[in-house]
Amino acid sequence: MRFERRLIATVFVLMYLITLGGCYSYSYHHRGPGPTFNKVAIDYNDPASEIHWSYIWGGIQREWTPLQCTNKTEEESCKNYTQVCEGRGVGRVEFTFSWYSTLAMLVTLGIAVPTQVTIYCATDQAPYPSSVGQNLPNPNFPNSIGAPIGTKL
Amino acid sequence: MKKEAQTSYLSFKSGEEWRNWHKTEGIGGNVQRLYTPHNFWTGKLGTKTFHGLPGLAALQHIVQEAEKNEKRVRAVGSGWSMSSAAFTDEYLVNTARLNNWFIGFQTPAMLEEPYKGRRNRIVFAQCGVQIKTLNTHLEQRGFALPTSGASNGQTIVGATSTGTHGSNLKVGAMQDFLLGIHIVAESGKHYWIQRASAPAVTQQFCDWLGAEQKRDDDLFKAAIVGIGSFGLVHAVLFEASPIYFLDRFVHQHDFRVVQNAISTLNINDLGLPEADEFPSHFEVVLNPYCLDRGEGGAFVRVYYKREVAKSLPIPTLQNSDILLSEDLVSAAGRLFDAQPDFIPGLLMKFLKEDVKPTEGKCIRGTLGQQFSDSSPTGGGTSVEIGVPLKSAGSALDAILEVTGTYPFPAPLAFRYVKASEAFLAFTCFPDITCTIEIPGPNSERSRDAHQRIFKALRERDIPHTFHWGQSLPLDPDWVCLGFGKERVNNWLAARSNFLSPKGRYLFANSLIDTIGLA
Repeated sequence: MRFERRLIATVFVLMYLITLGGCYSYSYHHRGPGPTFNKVAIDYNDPASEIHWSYIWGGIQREWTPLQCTNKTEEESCKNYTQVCEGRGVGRVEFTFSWYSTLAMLVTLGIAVPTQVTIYCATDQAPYPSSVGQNLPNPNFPNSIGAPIGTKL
Repeated sequence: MKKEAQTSYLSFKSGEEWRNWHKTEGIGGNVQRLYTPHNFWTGKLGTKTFHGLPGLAALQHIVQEAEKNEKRVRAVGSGWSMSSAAFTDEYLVNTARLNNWFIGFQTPAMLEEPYKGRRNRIVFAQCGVQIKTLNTHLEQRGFALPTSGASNGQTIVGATSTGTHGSNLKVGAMQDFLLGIHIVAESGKHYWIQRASAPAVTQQFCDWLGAEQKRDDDLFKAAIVGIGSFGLVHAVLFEASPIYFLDRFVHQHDFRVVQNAISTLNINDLGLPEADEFPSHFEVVLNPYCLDRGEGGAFVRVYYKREVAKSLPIPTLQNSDILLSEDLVSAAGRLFDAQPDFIPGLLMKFLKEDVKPTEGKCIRGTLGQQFSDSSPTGGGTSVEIGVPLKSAGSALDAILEVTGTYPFPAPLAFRYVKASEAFLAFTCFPDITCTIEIPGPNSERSRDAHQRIFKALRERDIPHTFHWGQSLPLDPDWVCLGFGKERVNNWLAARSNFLSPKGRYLFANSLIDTIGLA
């Protein structure tokens, strides 16, 4: 009985430690231009995320190159695609182990390991030209005026 | 089950879990629809067309959908609020992609006379433009925001709608530099709201935008800190300042040296570098557990505003130390509940690392460099209380009474802001409001201590308000006591005149219901 209790406790602690591996994460955040060099503005509310598997000790992995659908039909097929992040690029990338990553690594002896990849779109936008707004020349970055986005999808 | 639906300019996700940026416990949850409007357009937009038009159309569509389905609708910016000010579990609108903006008016006829001469620095910004975006691009062009909060990730509308502030006796809080506000209200109708007493734009501008104009001082004063309750704010108009430097000095003192200055703003004894000049930003941060002589429990942080000579190029980053803002709220994430004996030392270590005395040196930077990036608290919390300057000393006594008997790990930051004319700005006390920020871990002990502080303030009859974007008491009593019946009634009347009962329900949420503002 005592042995069983110990075994259960050991299994519980081991499982706990294994799932704690899901807390490992790494991130990259792009910086915007000077003079502030602030971390670039991102859309925190609407990230895109996928679980990606890496196989055979990292020898095989699938590249993630998503497109964004901007117009779906009622049958859920996409009529129009555009770049993700409306052409402004990704501002932040996070790699996070899932709760079962360590377990998968142990069970498969490292042959298959999942990682969650999350991207946050950059939302930085230079002042936009219009007949009302006049964009003053930027002495440091003359080409930084934002280009039209999403037109002619 | 998640389902996605999209049109050319609008997408939404059903059953999405939304959390605020700080991941504050109890804030956010599952939403029926999380909309993300875009400025996409399937046709070609002419040069005379407003390029944020698709986003505006999307907001109109969302409001109409919400009305049709009898749902409440709220907009969220960067999700920086630690309160439920922005949140609804019905239709939540993510405004992050609505970031079209411009600086300068080519058509003087669109501006009223006083602004024509300054038309090159009038800024029109959609709701999703973040402070950091404005800082970067304005400073590149020789301009700057007149003031900001301690950090830069909020959207312009999120920051102004909740009364975000720095410590500025001349400008006030962020909503105080707004000239006009563009709101999508019932049936998707949209309105340009500006002061009748000091209008900034002409009917020609409203025609260009397609908005109905409302010149109404009370409506303007209500809507600029509207806490999302007047409709979906699509855009704002403001005047940028010429770019300026902020010279930072931080001194560490004993509490007795700063005690008088906290409630009088008499800074003569503080040994500041400019004896005859009141700084543009004055702030005192206290370790409430190190108040004795020789303990150095007070940090005085000042910024002096300095002109940038026109002959100079746009300033570059001169000191990588200022890449992270010394925003105290972020610190809440690094503080943790400790045994009472360890709290004084823990706080002192944290303050020395975060507020960083400058040892007499000047740290120079632009607004965007000084008040730059900060980190999420990862579940921490913060309370910010506004009191009249003359009551700052009594409020400090009340708080110290609590920290003396019930220690909890939180510094106290005192800042000073010119009174706002916005009815529900928490910096509403004339002539100067003292704001007291108390960031810390979101623990039962901290929450209990906050309740004790609220009780102590009430028992001493100290008028006080709470920052809408930070943790605040969920009862209606403090609203009338703090702002005064007149301000609250003016706000309610302006809202009732602007929205029908159905509209008031549509743009409210549980926080607004709970505190009696619905």
